[in-house]
Amino acid sequence: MNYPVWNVPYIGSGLVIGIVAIVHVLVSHFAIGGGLFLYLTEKKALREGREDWLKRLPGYSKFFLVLTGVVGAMTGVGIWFSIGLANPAGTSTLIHNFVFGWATEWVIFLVELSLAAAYYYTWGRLPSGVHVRLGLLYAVSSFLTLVIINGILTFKLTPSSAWLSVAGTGKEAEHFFEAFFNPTYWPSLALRTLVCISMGGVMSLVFFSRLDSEKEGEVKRGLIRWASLWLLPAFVFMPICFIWYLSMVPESQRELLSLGISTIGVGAFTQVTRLTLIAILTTATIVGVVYFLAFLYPRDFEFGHAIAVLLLAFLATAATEGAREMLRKPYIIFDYMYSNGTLKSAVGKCNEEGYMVHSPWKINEGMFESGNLRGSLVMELGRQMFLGQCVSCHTVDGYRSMRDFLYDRDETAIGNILAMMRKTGEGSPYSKFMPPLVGTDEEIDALKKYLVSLTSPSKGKGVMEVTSGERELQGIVKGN
Amino acid sequence: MNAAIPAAEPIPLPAPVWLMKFLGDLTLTIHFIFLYLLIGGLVLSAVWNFIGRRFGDKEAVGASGVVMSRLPIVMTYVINFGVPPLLFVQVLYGQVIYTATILIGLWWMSVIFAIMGAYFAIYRCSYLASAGRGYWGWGVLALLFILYVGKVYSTAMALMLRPEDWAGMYARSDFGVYFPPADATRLPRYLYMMVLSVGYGGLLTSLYSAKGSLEEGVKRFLRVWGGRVGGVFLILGLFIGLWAWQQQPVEVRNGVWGVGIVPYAVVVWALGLLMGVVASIWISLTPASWGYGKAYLAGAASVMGAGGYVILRDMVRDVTLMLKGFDVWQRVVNPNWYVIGLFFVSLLVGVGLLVWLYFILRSARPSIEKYV
Repeated sequence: MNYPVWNVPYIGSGLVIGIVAIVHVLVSHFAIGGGLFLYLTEKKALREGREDWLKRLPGYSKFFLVLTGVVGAMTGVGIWFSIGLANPAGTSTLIHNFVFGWATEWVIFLVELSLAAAYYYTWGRLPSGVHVRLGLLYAVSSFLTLVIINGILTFKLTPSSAWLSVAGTGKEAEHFFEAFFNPTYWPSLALRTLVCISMGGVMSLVFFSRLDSEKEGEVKRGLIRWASLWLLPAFVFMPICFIWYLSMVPESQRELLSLGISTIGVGAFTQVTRLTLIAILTTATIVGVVYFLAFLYPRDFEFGHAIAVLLLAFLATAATEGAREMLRKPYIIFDYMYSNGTLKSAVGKCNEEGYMVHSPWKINEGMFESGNLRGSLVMELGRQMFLGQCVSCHTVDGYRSMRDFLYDRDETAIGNILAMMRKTGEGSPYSKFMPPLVGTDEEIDALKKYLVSLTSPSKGKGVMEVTSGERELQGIVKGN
Repeated sequence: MNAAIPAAEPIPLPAPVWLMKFLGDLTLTIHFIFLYLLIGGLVLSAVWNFIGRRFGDKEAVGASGVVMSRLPIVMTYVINFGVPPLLFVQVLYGQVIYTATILIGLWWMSVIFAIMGAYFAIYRCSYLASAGRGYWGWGVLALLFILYVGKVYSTAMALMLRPEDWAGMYARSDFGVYFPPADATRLPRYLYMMVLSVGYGGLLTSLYSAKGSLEEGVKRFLRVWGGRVGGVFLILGLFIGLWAWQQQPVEVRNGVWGVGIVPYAVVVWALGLLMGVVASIWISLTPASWGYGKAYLAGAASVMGAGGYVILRDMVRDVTLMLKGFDVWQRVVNPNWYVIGLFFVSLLVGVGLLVWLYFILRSARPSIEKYV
C-alpha cells in the first residue's frame, strides 16, 4: 500500500468518480456534437436565408458556452481530482505514460475555449463568413480533444501487447504510440463520435423545445426536426460500431459479458451484462421517442418531453460508462494493475514479504500512545488491509456494503472466503471480477478479524483486546 | 528516501526534469496573472458596485461593470492555465502531491464545487451588470468561493512539503476531513497570494481603460482607483512576501540561496513589484493621458512579479523536499522525443491560432458597454 486510501463513507470513492464522470461525459460529448450542430445550423440558415433560425442561434450559443465552459470544464477537472484521490497509483501510471498527450489536449482545449467565447461574443459583429469559420474551427478543435482523450481512456482496457511487454522495465515511453492507438482506439472513437452527434441533437431538442408553439410554430417545427435528425447516425451505425468494439476487447473480458448473457435464463446477470442491456434499451427508447414525438409532431414537442429524452440519455451514458468500467475488472489497467492499485507483478512479493510491510502507512504503537488510534494493532492492521485492498470497490455500510455481504458469517466462513480470494485464475470464482487478496498469513488473519468485527460488534469484541498473539504481530507491522 | 514518502512511480519520467519544470513554471506564471485579474477584479468590482449604487456614483458603477463583464472569460483562463502546472507537478512530485491531497481529500474535492459556485456567481454578476442592476452581493459570494479555493490549494501545496505530519493526519481521518496541524509558513504564503492579487489586479484592471469606446469618466475612474489600489496592495504584498520568506526554516532559506537561479529570480521578483508600484503611481496620477508605455510597464511588472515568485516557490519546494529525503532531480528519465516534439508542434499551432483569433476579434465591430 503505497498511498493513503481516501475512504468515502457510504458511497465509496469509486462512486464519487462515477457521479462526476457521468455528468462530464454527457456535457463533454455535447461540447463536441453541439459545436458541430452550431456550425452546420448557422451555415444551413445562411444558405437557405432563414433569418428566423439565425435569430435563435446566439441564445443557443450562450447556453452552449455556459454549459460546456462551466459544467463541462469543471467536471473534467473533477474527474482528474477524484481519480487522483481514489486511485493515485493508477492515475500516476496514466500521467507518466501520457503527460504530453494530456498537455496536447490542454493546448487544444485552450484554443477550443477561446473559439467558443469568440463565437458567442461576435454574433452580429463579424462578417457572416468569418463567423461561420470560427464555428468550423471550434467544431474541429473540440473533436480533436476527443481524439486525444480517447487514446488514454481506451489504453486502460487494451494497453496493447507492445506496451505490456515492456511494462515495469522503464521502457514504456518507447511504446507510446502503440499504447495510444491501442486495439480499442478506433472503434471507441467511432462510438464516441456517434454519441457526440446524438448529444448535439438531444441538447438542441432541449433548448428549442422551449420555443412557443403558437407564436413561433414554424421556426420550432424546422429546428426540432433538424435536431431530431442528429440522432439518425447513431441509430444506423452504433450497433455496427458496438460489435466492432467488442471484437477488439480481450477474450477474458468479453467473457464477463457472455457469461451474463448465457445465464440470463436463471436470472444470474453479471453487472456488465445488466448495464449493457440498460444502455441498449435506453438508446433504443430515445430513438423511438424522438421519432414519434419530435420528428413526427415537432410543434407539440414540449420542454417536458425534451427533459425526458435528456434523462434517458443520462441513463444510457451512466450505463455505458459503468459497463465500460466493469468490463475492465479486476484491473484498472488491464493485465498490469489491479483495481485496488496493486501491481499484478507485485502479488508474489506482497504474499512473501507482506502487503503493509513496506508501506509508509503501516501502523505502530506510537500512534496508539498519541491517541490518534484506538483499539489494537491487529484490528488496525486488519482495517488497513481492508482500506488498501477492498475500499476501492466496497464500503463498510452503503454502496457494495461489506457488512451486508458478510451478513452473519462466522470467523471460519470468512476465513474460507479470504483463502479462496488469495488464489488466482481458475482457483477462485472471484478472480474474474476481483483482484487477488495479497499479504502474509498474519496480515490475512488480521483482515479476517477486522471483517468478523463488522458482522456484529459482539463478535469482534474479543479481538479488540490486545493479546499475546498481537504482540507477535507488532513485529510484522513495524517491518522488523 | 524518507520512509514516510511513498515509493516512486515505477515508470520513468517521460521528459527531463528541467523541461517539465520550465513548462510548469511558465504556465503557472500565466495562471497567476489571470488569478490576479480575477481576485483583484472581483474585489474592486464588488466594492465599486456597492459604493457606486449607494452613493449614486455612475463612474464607479460603470467601471465596476467594465471589470465584471470580463471576469467570466478571465475565470475560464484561470482554470485553463491552472491545468498544466498541476499536471507537471503530478508527474514530478506525484508521491507527495497525491498524498497531501488525499489527506485533505474532502476539502480537495470540494474545490470543484466551489469553483462552479464562483463561476455561477460571476456569470450572474455579469448578467446583472449588463442589465444595469446591482450585483455586489453576488460578487462577494464569488470572492468567498475563490478565497476558499485558494485556501485549500495553499494548504495542499504546503502539506506536500511536510511528510512529518502525514501519518498522524491519516490516523485521525482516512476521509480527509481535517486540515493539517499548524505550520508557520501557511498563513503568510496564502496572504501573500491574496494581497498581491489585489495589488496586481488593481494595476491590471486600469488597463481596461484602453478601450476607446468607454466613457471618459469611466476610463478616468479605472485609472485613478485601479492605480491607487494597485500601489497600496503591492507595497503591502512586498512586506508579506518578506514575512513569508522569514517563516521558512533557516536550513531551507540557506539551501534556496545556494541554488544558482535564485538571486536572479529574487531580482526579477523585487523589480516586478517595484515596477508595479511605479506603474500604479504613474497611472493614477496622470489619468487624463494613456499610452502604450503605461500598459507595457504594468504588463512587464506583473509578468516579472509572478514569474520571479513562481521560480522562488519552486526552489523552496525542491530544497524543502530535498532536506526531507526526496530529490526530484534524481528521478529516472526516459523521454520519447517524438511525443515531446508533437506537443511543441501543437503548442505552436495553438498559439498561432490564438494570435489569428486576436486579430479577428480586433476586426470585429466594438461592443457597446452600458452598465448604468
